[in-house]
Amino acid sequence: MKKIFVQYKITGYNLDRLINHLKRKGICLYDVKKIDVKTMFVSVKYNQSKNFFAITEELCYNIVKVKLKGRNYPLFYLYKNLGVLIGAILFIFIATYFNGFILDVKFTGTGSADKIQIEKTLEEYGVKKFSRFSKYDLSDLSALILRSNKNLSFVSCEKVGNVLRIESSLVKEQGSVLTGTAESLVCPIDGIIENLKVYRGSAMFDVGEFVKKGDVLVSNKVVYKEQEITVNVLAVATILANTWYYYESDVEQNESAVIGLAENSFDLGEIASTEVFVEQLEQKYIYKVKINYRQVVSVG
Amino acid sequence: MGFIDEIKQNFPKDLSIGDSYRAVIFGETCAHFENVRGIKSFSSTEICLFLKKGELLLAGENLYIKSYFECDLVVLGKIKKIEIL
Repeated sequence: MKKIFVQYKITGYNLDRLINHLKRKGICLYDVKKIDVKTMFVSVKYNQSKNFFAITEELCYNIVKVKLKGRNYPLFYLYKNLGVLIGAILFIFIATYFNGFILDVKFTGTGSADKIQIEKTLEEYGVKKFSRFSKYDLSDLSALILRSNKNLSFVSCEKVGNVLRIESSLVKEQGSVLTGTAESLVCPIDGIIENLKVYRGSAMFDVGEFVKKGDVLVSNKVVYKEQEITVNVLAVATILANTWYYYESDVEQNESAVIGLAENSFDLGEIASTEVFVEQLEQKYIYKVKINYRQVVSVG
Repeated sequence: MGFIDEIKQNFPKDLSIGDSYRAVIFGETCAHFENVRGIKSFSSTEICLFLKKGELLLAGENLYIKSYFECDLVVLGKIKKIEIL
């Protein structure tokens, strides 16, 4: 309590006499400032404030406590208001502890269009809500997402408060430039339509239908306000097709090796699945590999 | 008041004003008085002190008493004149 002072505002006559009276009674006075004839400010040590009031109680002065001040006042305030101190400590502890939990995952950048694939990768890595950030290496996670998704050219994972922010960019597609002069989307292979997005034009088939090579998937005729008009087609389709690979051998082969041979011998799109059928004729092994693959066709 | 005591120890006796009290002036802004009996009058422009023998007048601007206990008094502000009455 040594460096804590209480400031009082004293109003009355004969303030000089009061100063002398207090001094004679052993009260140490500090920062005595006279505002006008009847008003002055005076500071007294905190441990002398009771004596001060006892002495001035019977005197004809109006005394108002203004404030507490001094170098040790902040500590004194905390001592008197222990609840504030405990609350502050609790708040800091809770904020620090819960700051390490993942409360949300946000996707930003053009790669967020592939959000579903990224979420699958996060699931495989074990990233989920309410787990701790410290459990994961964010740079490893970024690399894993990039490796497992061929459509992304850039991935960055960072902690922003309690949110795991994943910023990603799609690979820039090569070759296809919008010319605005396409007449129709023609199917190049036999297969089943797995996905069809028509931005301009009329779809001639539905998803799940079987189409043949040469079929017009999207035509440039569109009915608009009961009139048929011609537009430049803008559409993307994914066709699920299959092809066969045959391999003969005198000795029994490992099926996965045969599959590898089959995949390398064709320049196909994304391979969806493979099936191997083995026949044994006399002393020969005949391997038939059915390769299901996806081909993306677009026009625009 | 350790700093004041140190200053006083190094201050030659023949420079103190009179025998009954001691006054130490620091530039124009601070004055320390010892053996002060009381305050006769006090305002922001003038402070008159009772000494054991006589009175001392301090004149200036924005004067205020920094500390006053026992017989020691410290005045801060712009001190323009010190007069022994």
